[in-house]
Amino acid sequence: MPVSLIDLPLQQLAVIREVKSVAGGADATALRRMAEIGFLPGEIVKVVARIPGGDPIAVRVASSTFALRRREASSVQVQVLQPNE
Amino acid sequence: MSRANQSSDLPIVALVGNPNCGKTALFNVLTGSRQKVANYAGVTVERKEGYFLTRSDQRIKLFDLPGAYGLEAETPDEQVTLDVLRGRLPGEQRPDLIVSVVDATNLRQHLRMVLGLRRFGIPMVLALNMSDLAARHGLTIDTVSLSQALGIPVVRTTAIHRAGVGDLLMKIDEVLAEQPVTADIAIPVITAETIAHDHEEVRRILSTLGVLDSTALRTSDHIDRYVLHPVAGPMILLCCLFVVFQAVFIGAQPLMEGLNSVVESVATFLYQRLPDSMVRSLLVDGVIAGAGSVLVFLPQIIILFFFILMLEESGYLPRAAFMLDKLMGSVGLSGRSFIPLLSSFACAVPGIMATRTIQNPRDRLMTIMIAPLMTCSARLPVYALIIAAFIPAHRVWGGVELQGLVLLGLYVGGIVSAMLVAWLMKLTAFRNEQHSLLLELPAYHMPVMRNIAIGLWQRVQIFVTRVGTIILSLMIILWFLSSVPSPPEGAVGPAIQYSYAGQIGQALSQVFAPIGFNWQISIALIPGLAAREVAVGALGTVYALSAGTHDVSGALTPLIAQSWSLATAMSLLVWYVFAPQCLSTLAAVRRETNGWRYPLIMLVYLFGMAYVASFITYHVTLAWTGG
Repeated sequence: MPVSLIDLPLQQLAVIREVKSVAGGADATALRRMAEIGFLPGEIVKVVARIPGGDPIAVRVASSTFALRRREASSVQVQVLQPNE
Repeated sequence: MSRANQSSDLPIVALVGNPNCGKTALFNVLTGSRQKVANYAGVTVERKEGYFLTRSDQRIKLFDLPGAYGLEAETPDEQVTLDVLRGRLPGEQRPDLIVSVVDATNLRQHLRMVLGLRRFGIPMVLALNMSDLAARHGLTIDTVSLSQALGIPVVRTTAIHRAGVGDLLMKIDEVLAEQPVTADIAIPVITAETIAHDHEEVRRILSTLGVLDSTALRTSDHIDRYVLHPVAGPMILLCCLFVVFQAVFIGAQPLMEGLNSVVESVATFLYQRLPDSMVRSLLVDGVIAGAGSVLVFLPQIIILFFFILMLEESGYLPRAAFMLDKLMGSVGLSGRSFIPLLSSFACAVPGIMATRTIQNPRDRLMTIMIAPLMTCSARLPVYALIIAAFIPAHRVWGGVELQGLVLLGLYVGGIVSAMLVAWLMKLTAFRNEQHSLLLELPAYHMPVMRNIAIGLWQRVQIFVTRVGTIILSLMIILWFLSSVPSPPEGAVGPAIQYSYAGQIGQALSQVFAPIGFNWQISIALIPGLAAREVAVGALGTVYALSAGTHDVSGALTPLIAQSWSLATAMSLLVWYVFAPQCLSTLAAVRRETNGWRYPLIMLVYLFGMAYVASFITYHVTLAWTGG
């Protein structure tokens, strides 16, 4: 079941299913920028760090690491990868 | 030589790539010291230009275009890059060749940029940078296949070790010889579809190269487990800040004293050799004192920027910004404001210049507006003088120095009021503007001394020329105001009292009486407008210390302790926390915001705050001391 990036446990690998506009999520500009920096369906992500309170978070996507605020992170729907996948 | 020697006729090559692809390191290797940093016309985006020779001894003009994540132009930096590539930036020629720089360890992201660049129809060479790092990760990229897949020449480079630069120079020669630039270029429209399309294309290319899934655990990930740890992370950050501050304030001390004594000996030498004249006064009191007051801060600025560049090169600074984002966000700033504000503790001018790294215009403006509230080193001489005169040197609460505590209080006062101002701006002028962070945390690198040295040299140059010229000319104007007209025959008071500055000061003392400033302070504030610390020397002049007194501050201490009330002294201390008495800061703000609007707003709000805070301080202290 897809979850938002906000709820992905630390260091858990997951695959991006969808990056979409949600209520209180990233705006159109941020969504386009996120696509440009690699937040695209099919990419592997993991959360590498969380500031206490969960905002912002550091996310590894493909080979880069980006800091995202909660708003942007909530727009990213991911599917957890099981170890054998 | 087929082409003329004039630089306007030289072939133009532009380095283009994502931020953190090692583009600037490659630029440094290619051009060495033959580079200059300026601004693009009308914007505050840094313009880096240099020269190099190809294998065929062709002189080439090289541009290091601002880093871009895409060709969408969402930031001023990206706008410049896009406009240059389109040949639409006034005063800039369109490049004859693009060297597209990609990080070999991050092809998935960076190759998309290459596909986008291809659409401009400008001849292109791909520099596969950081290929040594890729090899260490077990990533061997077949350059021949990649070149075939993309339809452009590919060269492996390792900018920090200069490897592959020869190959790159050869390819540049070849491509320039065979492919002329087309007169008309396509202006690509980038949509979500093009991005998705390019993404698929990159996946296809990478899978033919057999390097599709290369998400091995990096050294950076191991380091980040500690550096970004919820508990250890902030502690590491605090330690870093502590070391930087100690180095800036303690390490720079002997150097600053050394510079000061050099300036003083030059002044004394000229004073003794030249006949008593206006020219001597202009040279000694205007030019040398003016230049000296700027140069004395150079050690602090060099040390501070050395650490900032080290932290930046290593990849730590964005992580500091990441950790501080929430804290700074609570008053409406972002983590990115951290670096400029840190610089402002040495001097607000380089701090304001550093705001260029903040992409969001609103965040950048807010940071510029509060930067002068960070206690810069120019306030220290004034603080030291008043504290020495009025605060008893005894220890409170079991060993804490009272004088040191007051000084700390002034620093904290500046920070707290900056936070307050930011918070007020968030509530009023800059309401309801939410935006994203999307800050890249690049892989850690060992800082390369060559790049640090070049970066340091560029900042020193900018500081000395920009501030030096402004402050010098203002000092000369203020010298004029303070020395003309000369005192009448048989005058008893100090000369400055009869000058224009003296007249203005006496008129101003009406304005300053409610906050407890006497006419001597009011006069000293006039030359102190150019630079805060100048006020100490000016007070010396007003209190008629004999010319050539070496330790002005030491001689003044008993004098003002006797003639000022504690309320006046406290009021002046508080005044210095806020008052924008630094014309070079205002000039820097004007330059960075392209107009007089923001420096004027800054001037009014800071003087307003200074007046109100001093008024309160003066009257509270008066009531408390039974005045």
